[in-house]
Amino acid sequence: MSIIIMGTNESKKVNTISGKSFEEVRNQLLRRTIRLKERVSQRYEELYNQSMLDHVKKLLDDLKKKESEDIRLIRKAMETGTMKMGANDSTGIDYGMLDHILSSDLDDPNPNDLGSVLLSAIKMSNDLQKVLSIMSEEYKGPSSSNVFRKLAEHETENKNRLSEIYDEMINKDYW
Amino acid sequence: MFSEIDLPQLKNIIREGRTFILDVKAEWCHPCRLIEKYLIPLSSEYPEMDFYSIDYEKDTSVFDFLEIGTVPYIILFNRGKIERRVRGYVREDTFRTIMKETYP
Repeated sequence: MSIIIMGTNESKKVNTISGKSFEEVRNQLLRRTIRLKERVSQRYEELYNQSMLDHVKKLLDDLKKKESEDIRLIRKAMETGTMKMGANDSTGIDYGMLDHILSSDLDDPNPNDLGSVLLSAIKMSNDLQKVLSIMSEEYKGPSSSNVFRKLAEHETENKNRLSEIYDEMINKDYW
Repeated sequence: MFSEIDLPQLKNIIREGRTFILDVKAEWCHPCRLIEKYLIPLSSEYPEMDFYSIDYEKDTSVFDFLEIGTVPYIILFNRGKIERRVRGYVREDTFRTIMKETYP
């Protein structure tokens, strides 16, 4: 897309509706994904500390490790540039438009209410999975697409594990 | 009877002053599915009452309209008025007690 700056004859090439380059928008979104993953990881830690059940603690520990693994993967990809886009990598989506998917519309969870924290983590995992799936479809470069696809698969696994924890809590009469 | 409705339908049902149970849910919400598992069979035990579910993600103004901020959320209506609100997951036995207390 190109825009004409009023009052001049200058024509400036921009990639997105906001005027930011794809790479800038994508990196912003990835940084936000990292922040969200860090928050999710923190919630797992809180749950871990609250839980008195060994098998639930183990599940939460696994989830926390998966989040750390994902964060490492994103950081590495950003540093090494393996997700750098070639000119024909993207179909031209404005990644700024995906921001709303990552914004939780639920009330903040009560840290002392396990159900509330778990629900919030399921929602976050679901939202991240949606964004990462869209990104894996949009990035045509094989290394980029694989990174996002792998991250999206992790989120699906996380969501399933969280649902398992919820079931465990119900079966153990937690609430 | 248990059926899924949208916001305009809900508003009509309230206007008609009906007595019913409303289950606010979302597709991603695991506890919502757990609630629905017992709510559907329970609805046949109360044939005189209607059971509805509404997916807030299909129309997020559902939250504002009902003044809620999370799912699962069950609202018990009596003649078009909110009689009781149940926030978050509740077990089937707990919900049965709530039903008996609300509609003695």
